[in-house]
Amino acid sequence: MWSLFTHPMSLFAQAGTYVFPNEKNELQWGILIVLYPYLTGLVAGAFILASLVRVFKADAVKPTYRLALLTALAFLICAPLPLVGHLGHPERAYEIMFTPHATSAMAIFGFVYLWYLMAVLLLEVYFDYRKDMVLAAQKSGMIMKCAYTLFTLGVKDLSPKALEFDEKAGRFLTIIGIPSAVLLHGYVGFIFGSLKGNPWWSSVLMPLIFLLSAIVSGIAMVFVIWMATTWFRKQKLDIKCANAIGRYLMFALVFDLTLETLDIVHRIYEAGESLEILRLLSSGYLYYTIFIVQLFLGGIVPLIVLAVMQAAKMSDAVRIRYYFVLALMVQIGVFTMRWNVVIGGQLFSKTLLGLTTYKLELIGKEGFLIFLTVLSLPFVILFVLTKILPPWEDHEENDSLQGKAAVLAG
Amino acid sequence: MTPEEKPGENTMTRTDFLASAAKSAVLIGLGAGGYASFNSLTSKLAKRKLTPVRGYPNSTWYSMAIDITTCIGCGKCVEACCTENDVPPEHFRTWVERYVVKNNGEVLIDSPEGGKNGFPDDIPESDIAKSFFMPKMCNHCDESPCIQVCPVGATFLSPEGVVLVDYEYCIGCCYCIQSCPYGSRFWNPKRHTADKCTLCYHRITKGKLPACVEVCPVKARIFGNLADPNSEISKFCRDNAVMTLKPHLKTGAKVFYKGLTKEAV
Amino acid sequence: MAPQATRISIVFGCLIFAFVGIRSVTVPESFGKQGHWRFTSLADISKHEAKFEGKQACIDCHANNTPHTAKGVSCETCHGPGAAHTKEFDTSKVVVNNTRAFCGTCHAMNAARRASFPQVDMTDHHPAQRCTECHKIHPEDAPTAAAGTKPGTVPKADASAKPTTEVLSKAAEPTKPGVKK
Repeated sequence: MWSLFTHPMSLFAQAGTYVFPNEKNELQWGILIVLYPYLTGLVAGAFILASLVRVFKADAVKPTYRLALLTALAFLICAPLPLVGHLGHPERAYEIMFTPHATSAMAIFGFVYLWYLMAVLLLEVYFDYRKDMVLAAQKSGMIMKCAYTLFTLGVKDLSPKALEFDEKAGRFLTIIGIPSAVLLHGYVGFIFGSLKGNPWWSSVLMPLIFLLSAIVSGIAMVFVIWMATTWFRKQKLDIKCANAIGRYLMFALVFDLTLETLDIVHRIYEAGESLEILRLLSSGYLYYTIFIVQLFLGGIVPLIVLAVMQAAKMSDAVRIRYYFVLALMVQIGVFTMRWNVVIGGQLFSKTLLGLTTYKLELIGKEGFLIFLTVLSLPFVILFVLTKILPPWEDHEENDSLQGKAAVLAG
Repeated sequence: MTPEEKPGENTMTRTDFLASAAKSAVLIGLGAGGYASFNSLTSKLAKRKLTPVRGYPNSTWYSMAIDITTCIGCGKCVEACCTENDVPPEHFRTWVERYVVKNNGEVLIDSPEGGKNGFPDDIPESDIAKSFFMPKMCNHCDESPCIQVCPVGATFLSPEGVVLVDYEYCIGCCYCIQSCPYGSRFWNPKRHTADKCTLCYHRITKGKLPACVEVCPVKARIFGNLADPNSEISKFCRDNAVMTLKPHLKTGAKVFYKGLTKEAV
Repeated sequence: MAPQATRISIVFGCLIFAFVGIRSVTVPESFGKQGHWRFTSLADISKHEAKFEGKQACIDCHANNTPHTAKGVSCETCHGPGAAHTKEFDTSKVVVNNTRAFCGTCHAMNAARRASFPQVDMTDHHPAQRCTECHKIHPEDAPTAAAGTKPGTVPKADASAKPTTEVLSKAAEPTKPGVKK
């Protein structure tokens, strides 16, 4: 095992290599499929952060509540894009909804996705923003007025009773939303964890690891977006909120790292038929992405720094800079974890006697440019969403006041 | 117990005695009854039968047996398969592997171009302790992982026991290719779907042999109906010690190998 | 019921209705007939045209007593796919490759091959000659005899009774070397 750390390339030479002829040509799942669990994980994580406010009354992180909701929505809208884009026949994608195969983990995606999008996120946004949308409709131009009215489904009632219903319904949806978020991403882990033919994926821990890394990445992503947008809007960052998110991120990291370590230790101790090839893999191709980026830079370092920051005395400005960098590191770490799972699981042959290679193209259907496009799309959508449905508390207050004034004036 | 009740503590009335006796009796009864029913339940549970090996579901249940001890590694089957089924270049519905166990225990495995053009005579005989050729193909598993994971029902076990791909319905997600532990499935770049051995379904349904069986010069491949006890394959599997690949994965593989040894992957 | 809930129920009802409606039109009729798959795909897959015709079709027209066939080797093992030839036997000819390399695909000495199979050292064993000069693959083939065609047992077109040897001898020139190697 230690050779793994000390001589990462030494085991390469010992490879008695044979890969099945069909495995020589290409890997089936490329960078788009890496993106898919990453995006889905951000949705689940962002939603969990939002639910902390609504269900667990974590008022310190309230400033991020609406932003977290919108982030979840923006990423969820984009989550199926890499999947559909990677299909050989994207025009047949509807079949997954119309004739879902009950025994297939993948078939359930359509329904879990739709449930989460329609029954949880959109409805929660609806109830949360209905009052704002009604008010916004009153002071908008023709087009936006129609749009806002459409979004409210024409319910303009702002009586205390109606608002109370919104609040209750929203809370109820959040409570449903937590298991749904867990299901959404735990299930993504199950897609990989349930394949007995692939020893790198086949693990009962897979859904849990996916889930916890999802929570880590989601919290970190909202954290980054929140800090960036606050800075862009030249507002003062709520340091209490930042500290609270930092603390949650630390706790999530503890659980995530524990599970990831458990997975590694378990594999090494069990020493099954796949150990040799997985050792070869993780000491060669995946050495840097697993041990350096995913575990060290994306996990251990942020965890230690966050822990030290809990006790350390430092100025708010420095703190925020630290948080920003750490959250970004966590992002990269989680993305690398998805890479290590998806690409790593295909880098060795089913013979367990040889390694395959992955070539990332720049252009092409599964190329790097498409990857960047799909990755940046959620941010564009989020930008549009924040324009239509401003999540900022300061704005909201102004808007609400203006809206109330407008109501009174009317 | 409240202090007021204390004086009566040591004096047990007849009624009290009867009541507690009745309670005890009920408890003992329940205990005995529970014990008896527990025992009868466990003995019943122990009698429950497990049927780990199911029979053939249909009277036609096609499969193939492969005789490793006979195969000469000429690659005719691979060539015929590629021709018969328009298999795209560099992809294989069937292929032949060469295993060479050297005197020092080292095992060399290769399959240049799937063994389509045979194998070079590049290992000196004096180095070889044991060697054999092993044709590989789809195992047409009865509990196939690929069928299990297909999200749309585009791959299925035909009524004749053949695992097939519906090329008109496959969405091309590649999940089945990932799930196959044998590397038997591949991505067809022309059809943009998964593809695999069909056991020459278009031939066997017309009374012909699969192309690979047809051209094998040494009868290393035996095709037939497993459900017919008089078929050639049934006899072959009866008369020889046959084994399937990766049985620990319980895929229900039904391509049977004679002469399968520990080196095989 | 709160107006929000009513409106949402209506929207969801419409969506579910649309889903069920579109689904009922889109799903292929034969889907689910036998299991969770499209039953008519069996017919689609069967439609694929066979390129190897099978030994029986060869025997129907041609002689069948060669040392190879006696050992159970199929005609198409050496002659390649013959389905086209059974339909267009004048224009579509089967492969006759009698190069040394072709014979060598099976018979070249290979240390990994089982010893019980007849193999020769191709570099040592009459390296300049074609194998067929000594080893008669079709021993009964006399240059002119309409070998082995059994009138009456021929189910195919009458013309098939003729020129097997002619076809073979013509094609027997090593015009297609290197089909193998």
